[in-house]
Amino acid sequence: MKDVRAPILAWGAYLVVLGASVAATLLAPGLMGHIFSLLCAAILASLILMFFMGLRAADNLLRVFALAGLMWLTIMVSLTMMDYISRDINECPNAQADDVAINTQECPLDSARSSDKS
Amino acid sequence: MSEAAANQASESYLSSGWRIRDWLLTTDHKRVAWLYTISITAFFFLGGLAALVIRLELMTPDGDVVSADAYNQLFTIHGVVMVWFFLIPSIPNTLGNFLLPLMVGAKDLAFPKLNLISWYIYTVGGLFTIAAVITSGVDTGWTFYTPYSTQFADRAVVAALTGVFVVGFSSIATGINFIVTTHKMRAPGLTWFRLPLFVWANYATSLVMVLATPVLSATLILLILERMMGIGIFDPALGGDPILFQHLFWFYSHPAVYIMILPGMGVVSELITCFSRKTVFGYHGMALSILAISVFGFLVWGHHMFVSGQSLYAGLMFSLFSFFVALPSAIKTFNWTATLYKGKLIFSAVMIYALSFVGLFTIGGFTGIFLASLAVDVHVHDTYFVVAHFHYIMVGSMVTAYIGGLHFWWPKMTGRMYPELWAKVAALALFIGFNLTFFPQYLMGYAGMPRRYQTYPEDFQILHVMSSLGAGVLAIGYLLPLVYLLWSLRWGKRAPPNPWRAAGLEWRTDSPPPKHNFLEPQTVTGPPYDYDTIDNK
Amino acid sequence: MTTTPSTTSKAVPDEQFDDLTQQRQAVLMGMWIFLATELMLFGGIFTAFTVYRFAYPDVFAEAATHLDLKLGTLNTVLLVTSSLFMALAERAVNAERRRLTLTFLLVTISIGVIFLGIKGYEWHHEYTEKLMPILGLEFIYPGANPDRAEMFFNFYYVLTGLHAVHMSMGLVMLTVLVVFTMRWRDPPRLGRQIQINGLYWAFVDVVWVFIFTTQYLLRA
Repeated sequence: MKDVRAPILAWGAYLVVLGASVAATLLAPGLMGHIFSLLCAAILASLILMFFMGLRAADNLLRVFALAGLMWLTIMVSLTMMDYISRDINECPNAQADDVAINTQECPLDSARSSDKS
Repeated sequence: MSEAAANQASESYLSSGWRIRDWLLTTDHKRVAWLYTISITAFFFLGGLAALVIRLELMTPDGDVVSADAYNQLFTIHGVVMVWFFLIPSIPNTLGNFLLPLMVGAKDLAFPKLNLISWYIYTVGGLFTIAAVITSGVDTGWTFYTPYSTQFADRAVVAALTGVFVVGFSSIATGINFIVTTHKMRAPGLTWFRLPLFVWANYATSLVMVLATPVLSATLILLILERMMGIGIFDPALGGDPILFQHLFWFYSHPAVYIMILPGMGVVSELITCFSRKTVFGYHGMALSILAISVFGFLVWGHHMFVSGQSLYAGLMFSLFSFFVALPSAIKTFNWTATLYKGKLIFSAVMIYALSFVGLFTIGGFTGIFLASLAVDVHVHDTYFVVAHFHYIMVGSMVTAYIGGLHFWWPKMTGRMYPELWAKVAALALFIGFNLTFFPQYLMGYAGMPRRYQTYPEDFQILHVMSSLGAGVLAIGYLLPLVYLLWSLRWGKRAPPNPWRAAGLEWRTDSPPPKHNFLEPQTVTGPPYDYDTIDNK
Repeated sequence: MTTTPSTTSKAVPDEQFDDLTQQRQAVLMGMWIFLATELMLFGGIFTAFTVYRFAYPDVFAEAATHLDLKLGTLNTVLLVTSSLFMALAERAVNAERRRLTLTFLLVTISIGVIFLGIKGYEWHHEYTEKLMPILGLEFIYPGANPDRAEMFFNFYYVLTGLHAVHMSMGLVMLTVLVVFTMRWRDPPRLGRQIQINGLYWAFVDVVWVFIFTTQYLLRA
């Protein structure tokens, strides 16, 4: 059996990075910890892709397909967020500026639904 | 090879094996193409029937043919059937299925069993959805917008959604099959820039199918879960945003527009070059603009949501991106026109279809630019202007290309010629009927006639009556081919291998082709559409 | 256990292909494209999650603390270990070592079943804590903004549920592979099948990495 060292080493590296990610969440919760955990997730995923899914040895075309999937995901998330960073979904449509806080004012659809349930 | 075996190999794919299981369990891409053709034609005429009742109702300003509720159900049936079960699978699964392996010189698609399974998924899912929509009277429209579809519609929405979800798998299977076949099964010498544009178009379509359809699946899963299990992802009471559904829905459904139109562009490129006896003008530009359309198509979905409550900033950006997608479309239109220039034009029925496509696509495309402009869209959104625009693209262009392509490759598919005179009559009926139906809709839409209404002010009646009469002519344009193409199966003249003296590998083999497409492995040595060489031989 | 090349292998490609290399490449490519569709399937739901995570950052971070981080981490370790054994099974079958292949496959399956068991235990635990707002079950949330927190749990159940469905399909396929390995009819063909299913299994692991990170780790 050839090349068993690489996957086993990758597995070891995975556990180390996972440990770091969990530790960061416990020791430094908050934005920085979250960013660190997301970075770790990217590393963990790459380890699996490279060593368990053979992307390291795959021909370029397969890498292009893998990248294309990633790129399309980026398009979907970023263009969707383009709307949400410039709009507050907590705000009721046509609501007055002073009653936008969460739960202080029911949106028309909220009341429509609650009366629907009763 | 023994002589008996050689005879068997050269036998046409139609000649033997006429037991039911030889068709229902076939893995031959050519036979699966026929299975798809039959299903798709049935769905097309069902959707068309719903449209005819709608047009009949709209002859008068009052609701007098059907009830308001039935009217909502009718446009839902029309939309669901035409979009999900006709337009999306139409060209790729019929002509594409038949021709893609032939055009790349392969024996079959890469995964023939998957191909057959996709037909079963499609047909069963389609019938299931239609049964659900008709029996329970689903009235959500084909778009299933939240919160209506999740919180208010009291019909079998879940069943309809499940059917559409299932049919998505058939799209994905087709996409995977086409991409792998194009990459891995091309004949020696058939480089990417020697591929017919029809193959390019189907390849780009498959990319869109593969990358977009799963998002629709995810969205439908979320809808189904919200209705069935109360997992309210789009529920405003939990801080959910119904507009998010539209984002996810149009991330699929806008590129799906290109699933519908790209194969039509591929077909028309083949037809125009053949009947101009000239190579395609700007082949590289044509191929790359097909790819560009399929990529840009993913960046523009927000133009369906200009007035739905998305932010103005997002609206501006999506408007800008929508203008970008017009560029490659314009390149294609100019190149078709330039291909005609100084060509030796032959005005056969097929050519009439192709020219109709170019004209109707141009009108539909230009009005698309109107709609991509934020301010104009606020005025005409949800009016007949939008209806007319997308019918010019989806019906005027796509269906015309489909029927034109069906005529062009009919001799190859069946080994029979169709009656040319009748085909010309049908092509003209289609062009006249179509414009009579939908051009008045631009006018009334601009004047403020909203879509999805059963009744309307009397001022609009003259335009509505014109539109309804046009629908009648259009129906003749669609029914005629059904009749004479079926007639030709038995009484049509036998077709030679290459009746149009066309370029392309598919014309090198018999009509109809043998089971494994070619008797000898094919090699390609020259550029595509080399009509100068063909005509000077 | 044999290490000599099998003599029974039928080195004939399926009829639509010219040779085995073409077939192998085509199947591999088909699988990668299929995985890209899976990515977009989960991607759609992750997009929706991103929108709400951005809109309600504090409520979501607070709600995440109600998940069991220990069991989540344990499951992540288990799943990557099963991926390792799957990768080893692929190498074993290529070396034509039947018993070793079988062992590795069975270990992979066992770990997968344990994963689902732990997941089920977690769900049950959340059910008893009244944190399962599905099918009209009572949802009693101890923190602020229970409605927005309910949205978090909705995503948690959609994502973990969809992942569990994928795991189950993977387990069924792995079981079929065990039967094929026991028969050992055509090892090169079996090698291709194990490779393809290994891709799927590892991909399900990739998805889990992101579910674990976004649901368990982005906590207050």
